[in-house]
Amino acid sequence: MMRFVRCAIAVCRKDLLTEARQRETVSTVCFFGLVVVLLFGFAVGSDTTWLTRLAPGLLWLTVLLSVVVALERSFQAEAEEGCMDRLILYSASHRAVFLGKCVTNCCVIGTVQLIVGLAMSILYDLPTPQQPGLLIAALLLGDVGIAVLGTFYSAVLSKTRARHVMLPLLLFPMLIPLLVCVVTTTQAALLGDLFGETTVWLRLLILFDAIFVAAVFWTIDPLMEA
Amino acid sequence: MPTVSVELKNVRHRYGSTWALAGVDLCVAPGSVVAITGPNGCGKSTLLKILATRLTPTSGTGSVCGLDLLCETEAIRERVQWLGHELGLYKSLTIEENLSFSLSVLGLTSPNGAIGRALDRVGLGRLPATSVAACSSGMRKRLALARLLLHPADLRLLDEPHTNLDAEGRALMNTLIGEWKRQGATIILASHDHAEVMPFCDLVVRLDRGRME
Repeated sequence: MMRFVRCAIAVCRKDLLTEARQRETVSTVCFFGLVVVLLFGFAVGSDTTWLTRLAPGLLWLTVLLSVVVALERSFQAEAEEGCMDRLILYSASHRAVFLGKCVTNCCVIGTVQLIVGLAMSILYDLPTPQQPGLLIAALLLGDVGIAVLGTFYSAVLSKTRARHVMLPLLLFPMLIPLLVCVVTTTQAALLGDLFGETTVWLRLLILFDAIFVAAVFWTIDPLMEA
Repeated sequence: MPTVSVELKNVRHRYGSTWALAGVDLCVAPGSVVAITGPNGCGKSTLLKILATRLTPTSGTGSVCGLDLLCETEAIRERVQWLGHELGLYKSLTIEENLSFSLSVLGLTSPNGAIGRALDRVGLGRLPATSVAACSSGMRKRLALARLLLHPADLRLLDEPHTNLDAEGRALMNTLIGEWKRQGATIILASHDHAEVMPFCDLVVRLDRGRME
């Protein structure tokens, strides 16, 4: 168990160190996110009521489109120079490697959420969230769901040449139920729970996350070994 | 302690419609140095990858360190070290960080100065903070060698170990092979240069088109 944890921490630390040095992924992803927020603001105009109503959907759409680049690059370092083979020959648990990558992607997605969310609240003059706790829960659960499924497909496609094309094609349809839940929950957190449905959406969100985590950790071993 | 370190029986491996190994039988005693030689594409690297459990043979059976090659892959990996063509180094990390990452993944704690000693041994002792991206291919090979020094193994598989090394590096590699042998490890190396590996090998096996000659 200790080895599993140490391996996951080592992989996560290595990836975060690489990102801190190169700043390729986060800077590209955040720049794209900010451009989308800015352009959308111009398109809708200065009607803050409209912008506030559209903000939750736009936040998650921007995050999703932005982080595809980060997710696609997750296993790039391992695919080069035989690093994945090396990890496997070290008897490193595939699940530990996957967990390390997942945590790194959670950090990247969290950073994008923070920057895009702050930019939206300033540019769109968004009101203070009605339920800040619920907003944080929605952001965290959405973050975990996208990271787990995105890292999984990134691992599966890491040896495929067409991974740039295949990743969004496989990932986006699978994320639709999660995105519906997370957008609705974010909207309720921001504008208030008008119809008292938030608990249902939040439970569904937790359920989707639990299903993704269980399914991915169950199947990742043979897929990474291949 | 098994009486045979490596045993292969009629091992065959196919890539698509091409047979890389067409029935290899091999028996290696513990503590011996075996060279597998032959021209490019004769199946040397495939054979080493099978022994390292990175490839599953299309057919045939075998054992490594007394463990079944097909069923006990995890246990075999704990006892085997592999130096392949691809060195498995992270370019974004420094020399020292690459070694400490390997130790962490292996679940080992580095005894005081173990990394420094390994780097001194391969001539990289003064460059621990150098990024691997800035290293020459020879320096990278030396770093991969330093990684082999960090933990013991019963079987060491070296694929073209002298490639990219200068004269000093080649001598160091030969010295290390001798030391590992004295420590009781079995060494199987692949090389296309028969003359270079002859002096320190107990057995030289020649492969040609996937068959042993």
